[in-house]
Amino acid sequence: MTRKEVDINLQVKFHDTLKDKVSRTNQLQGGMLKLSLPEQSTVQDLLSSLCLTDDWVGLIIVNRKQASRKLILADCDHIELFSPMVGG
Amino acid sequence: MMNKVLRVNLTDSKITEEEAPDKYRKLGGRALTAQVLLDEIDPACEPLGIHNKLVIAAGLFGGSPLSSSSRLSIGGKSPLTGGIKESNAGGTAATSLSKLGIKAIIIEGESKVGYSQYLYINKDGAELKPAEMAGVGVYKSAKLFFERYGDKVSPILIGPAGEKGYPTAGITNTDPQGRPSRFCGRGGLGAVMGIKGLKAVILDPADAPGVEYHDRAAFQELNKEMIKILRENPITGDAYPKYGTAAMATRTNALNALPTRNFSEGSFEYANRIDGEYLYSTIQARGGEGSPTHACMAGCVIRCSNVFADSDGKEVVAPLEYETIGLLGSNCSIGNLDDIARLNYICNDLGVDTIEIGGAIGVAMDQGLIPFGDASAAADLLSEIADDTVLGKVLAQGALITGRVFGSRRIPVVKGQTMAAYDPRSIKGLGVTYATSAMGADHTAGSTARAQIEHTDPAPQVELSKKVQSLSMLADSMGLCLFVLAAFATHIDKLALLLKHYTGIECSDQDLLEAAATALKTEREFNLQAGLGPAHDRIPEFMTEEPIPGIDSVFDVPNEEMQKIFD
Repeated sequence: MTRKEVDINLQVKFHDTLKDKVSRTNQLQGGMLKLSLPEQSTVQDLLSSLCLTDDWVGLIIVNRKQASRKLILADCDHIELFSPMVGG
Repeated sequence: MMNKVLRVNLTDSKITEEEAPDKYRKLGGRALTAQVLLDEIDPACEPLGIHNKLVIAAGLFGGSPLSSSSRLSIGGKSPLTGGIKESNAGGTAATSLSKLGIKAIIIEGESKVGYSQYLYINKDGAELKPAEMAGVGVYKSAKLFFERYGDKVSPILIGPAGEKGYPTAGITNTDPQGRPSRFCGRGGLGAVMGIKGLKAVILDPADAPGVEYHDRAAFQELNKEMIKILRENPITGDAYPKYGTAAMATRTNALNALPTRNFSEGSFEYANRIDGEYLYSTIQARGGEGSPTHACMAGCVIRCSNVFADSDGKEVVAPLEYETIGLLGSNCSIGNLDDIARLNYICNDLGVDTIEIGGAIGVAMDQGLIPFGDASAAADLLSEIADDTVLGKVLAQGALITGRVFGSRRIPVVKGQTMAAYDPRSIKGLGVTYATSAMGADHTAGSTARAQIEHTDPAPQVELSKKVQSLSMLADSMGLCLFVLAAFATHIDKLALLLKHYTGIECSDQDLLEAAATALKTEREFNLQAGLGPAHDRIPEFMTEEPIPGIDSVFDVPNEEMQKIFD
């Protein structure tokens, strides 16, 4: 018997320039996007699905904690994405 | 290639022109100021004494049309840290310096004439003149100089705080529109200039020979490629131009690294009222004289700066930057951009560093002198500095002295200098930079905040900080804004080639990195001779004991591990 593929539901919040970029091709609500990905998807899978290349994304926060691209996402995860900037 | 050194001895008012020694040929900006200081002054000298010197220099790309390449470096022994200091800023002065063919101005001695002076430099030479605007704020002083010499000159000047010798005083120069708000703010170099009796240096590039190119055509061709790289990079091409440095607030807030209430917290409840998006939308909505994007130096394609206007559209201050927002804002629990902008303007006019004063006010608030969040009371404290009261004199010494006077055990300084707006318990690589840089707690010495690593993991931070400190030195020595590194860090070879086309200096990318490493050693050597060693390379104890709320993290990169950065 094959394992049934299950989708996980995610909430992604985009900040400043990423919000501008993603909103060109997606309908955001308050800078947020709700989407589904297959179970066992990683942060990198999420970024790829949104066509966000490495140079666009710096800081990644999942459920209020810093996360890496390799993190496997779970249902109802809340992700925040930021472009890589420094202050001055 | 500019190769003239102007030496100004204020003790006997003697001004001489020298050819730069050959050993300085490949040095510019921060690396040049460090080498001159180590060569010419006793590192153990009194920072506000007659033997300290001030070195003013452009970077190796100074005056060139390479974007973001004309930052002005000013170096000296810091009255705040007791060590070597270089602080740099955009503006017009470095370009004017380069057009005048000046590689460096060395200011030495101290004036005996009994009144404040300014140094006027044009194509015919240099002259010391009486400065009638002693005690006057930088905005009015700059206006007076422009009225006297026309709007094409570049004033480098100090405010009243510098004239009084306060170690929170910076040195400013003007942006292309004449605003005296491009501060070499850190380390109290304004006090060094003020105590020497020098109010300003006026650079008049009219009819000056201008910059020379080793190979202009080749430079222009490669420069087109560099501009394309900057424009196509999402950070330098999109993020900085629209949201500026204030965008950092959302990132540090998410990481629990945004200084809040004197570094007692890292997350601020009003962060979304002081961040880049809010700043952008506020400026856009108000219109008038405000602008969310602005170039602090001619030819900059990043344009990360801004002009902040009030609700009537009238300019309040330009620029309003992240570090000011972090230290005078969240660190003082002030969550209103209008309040922060007004405090910023007052600091500018006094000629004080907004980071250091924000640190001092934060410590004072923490000790109950005034309530957290009370912007009006914070403005009153700045008035105490302007009025030269005893309390004002204390605050104007910076966060360390203020904290000691008021009995604080939470003083966010390294080597006597207030941390920039990144809590090292949450971004530990920056903590390593704060601790080990010869500059003291200075984010521009090597910010790791952009790195895609786990910022609370102590393991990779020393190596990361070492790499970023080296890249920062490279940029500071070339006169480059650190923000170009987002796009140029993988194109150091092209920078080397561009440098050859501009100056004739033959070097590889590896040569540039080695030169940066050597310059860092020069700074370290100065500090060791000044008496600043491993015992001073420490993050304050409260940050190793008191976890930052939210992520329960302390600064735990071992001191012995941090010393390996000097291997």
